[in-house]
Amino acid sequence: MAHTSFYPPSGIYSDSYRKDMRIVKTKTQWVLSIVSLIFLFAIPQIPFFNSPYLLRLLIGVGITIIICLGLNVLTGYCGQLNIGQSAFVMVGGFTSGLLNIHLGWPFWMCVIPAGITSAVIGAIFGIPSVRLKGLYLALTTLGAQIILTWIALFYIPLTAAGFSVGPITIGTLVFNTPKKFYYVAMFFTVMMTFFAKNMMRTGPGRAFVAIRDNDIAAEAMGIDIFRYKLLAFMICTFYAGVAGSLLVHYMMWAHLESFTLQDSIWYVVMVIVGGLGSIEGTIFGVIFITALKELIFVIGPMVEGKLPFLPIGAGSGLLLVIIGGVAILFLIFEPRGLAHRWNLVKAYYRLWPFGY
Amino acid sequence: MEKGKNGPILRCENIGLRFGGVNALVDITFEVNKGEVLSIIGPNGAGKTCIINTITGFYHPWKGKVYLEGQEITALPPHKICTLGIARTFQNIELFTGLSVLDNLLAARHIYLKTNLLSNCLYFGFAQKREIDERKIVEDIIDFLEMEAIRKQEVKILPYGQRKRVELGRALALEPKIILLDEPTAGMNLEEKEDMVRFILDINEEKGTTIILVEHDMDIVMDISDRIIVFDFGNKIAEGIPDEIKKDQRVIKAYLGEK
Ligand SMILES: Nc1ncnc2c1ncn2[C@@H]1O[C@H](COP(=O)(O)OP(=O)(O)O)[C@@H](O)[C@H]1O
Ligand SMILES: [Mg+2]
Repeated sequence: MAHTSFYPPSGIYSDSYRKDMRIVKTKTQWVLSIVSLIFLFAIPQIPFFNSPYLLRLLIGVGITIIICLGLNVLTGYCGQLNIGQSAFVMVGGFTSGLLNIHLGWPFWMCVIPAGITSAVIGAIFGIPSVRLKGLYLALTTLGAQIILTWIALFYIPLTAAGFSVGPITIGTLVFNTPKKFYYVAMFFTVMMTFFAKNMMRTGPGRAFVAIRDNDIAAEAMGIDIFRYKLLAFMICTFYAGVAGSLLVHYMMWAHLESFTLQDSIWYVVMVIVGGLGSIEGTIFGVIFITALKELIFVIGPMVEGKLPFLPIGAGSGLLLVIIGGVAILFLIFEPRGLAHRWNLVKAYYRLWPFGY
Repeated sequence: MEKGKNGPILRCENIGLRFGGVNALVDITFEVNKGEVLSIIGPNGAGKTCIINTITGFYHPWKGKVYLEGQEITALPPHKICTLGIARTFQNIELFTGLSVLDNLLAARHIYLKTNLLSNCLYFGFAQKREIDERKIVEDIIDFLEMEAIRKQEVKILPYGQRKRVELGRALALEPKIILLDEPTAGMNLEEKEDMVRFILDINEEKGTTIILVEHDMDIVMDISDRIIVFDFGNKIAEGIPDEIKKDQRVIKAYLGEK
């Protein structure tokens, strides 16, 4: 054969591939990204923005983003439903809290063990469930929620009652107010987002989507389905564990009430509304649902006040109905979530002023 | 033909496969020589897809053995067999529908990706370099199969013929020793068929990849096969070079004659 290589010569493209694979491509995008990052970390210093109310809200959003990123890796990318995510947040939270008060470990030494413990427990529940699909898997994760809560409630006296946990410190700096804790929360949120995005745009992410889209073909392409589903499970619960650790050191209090089935379901809703299989979408979903919740908390009591014939608590009931409704509407009309809208806007902007 | 002199790369020995009372494969024995194009033909339901599924580990026969280069692979799961160098396409296209053409091929590079999770998290440095290397290999395949224009498109919006081509590309991305093609030209128009045949021959001739082809188009089969095996009701009823098969009375009766 005259050919020196099987495929036609392609030249040196590595530089263009490197560019093509970038997340932030144009100069404008760079500027926008850097400006928003600076803004994100400057918020506690900006008047009006730095109200304790807003900071607390943003800390909640940050921690929830970490939880939902993990969930989206498992549910969105790998296609495995998990309706027990908050139980794994609990495992991380209690692990971190117990290490802190019993062994005196500072938060920075607890956070990774918290993630790992959660991932190991996640794997224990994951092993039987990777062989199941759809509704059966959902039931297994529901089982995890119930069993883990049960254990915490009846077998470990400390976790049943709740206990106080030390705040996060660096040297003499104590992160015990929202204004200070905000930085820790955002640091972790940005870092965990960065990690998730990178995992999902390289080999593991493609393997997960391959399994989700076509498990037969995935096997034929050499992807060990069992191993990868388990890996997705462990990433998911590792994220939950890290978030749990952050949460208890933020509240300085570890208690079962922070980790309910209702929380788990909200995480699923956030991921669906944001966009299954999208890192950006996860962020949108958490912000959107959190904002909606806040709005209803304000509107709910007002409605109750205006309409005295409504029973007490109708406001918070309204919350559930509306959020459930939003999730259903998204599933019907925009199954690809807010992330898809965002992509349309981006495409529109790129083509502007030529439109579609 | 000098191809046959290379000796066998794959051997199926007394394969028996059953589904309930149905004998899908009965005592099937044959060898595939390194570098040849071996076609498997036979009427619908003859067991052609079954033998592909058996070789690739999707079905496990109740009797008989499959050897790849002397090593027994009968009981291995599909993902293990794949890493040993056997790639396949499916009769009813099985692609990763949510991924682009590029990512479909990259997903198949999975077996060569040995980066650990931590380096994937950090991306810059090790993982990025690997991604670029893999990208280069996959882009070469995309060029070879003339799919440059659709590389970024989600496969679910592609027409049927192009999806078949993507599936071939994905099999190539595994850099296999053997490729099993299950009706690669089914449902294609003439031009698409000609392209597909050209690709198959190029893969076989230039890279020396062994091809096992299941195909209904007799012109193609007679044209490009080194040898042909004929199945009927789960039995192997004939084996030989195209000229022998054309003249075989049993084959004419069972298969060619029915048209
Ligand atoms: N998964 C299965 N379950 C039950 N029967 C099957 C299965 N796969 C194939 N068969 C049967 O095995 C026989 C051979 O099928 P197949 O190999 O698909 O034929 P073809 O030669 O057309 O590819 C058919 O009778 C088919 O019904
Ligand atoms: Mg078939």
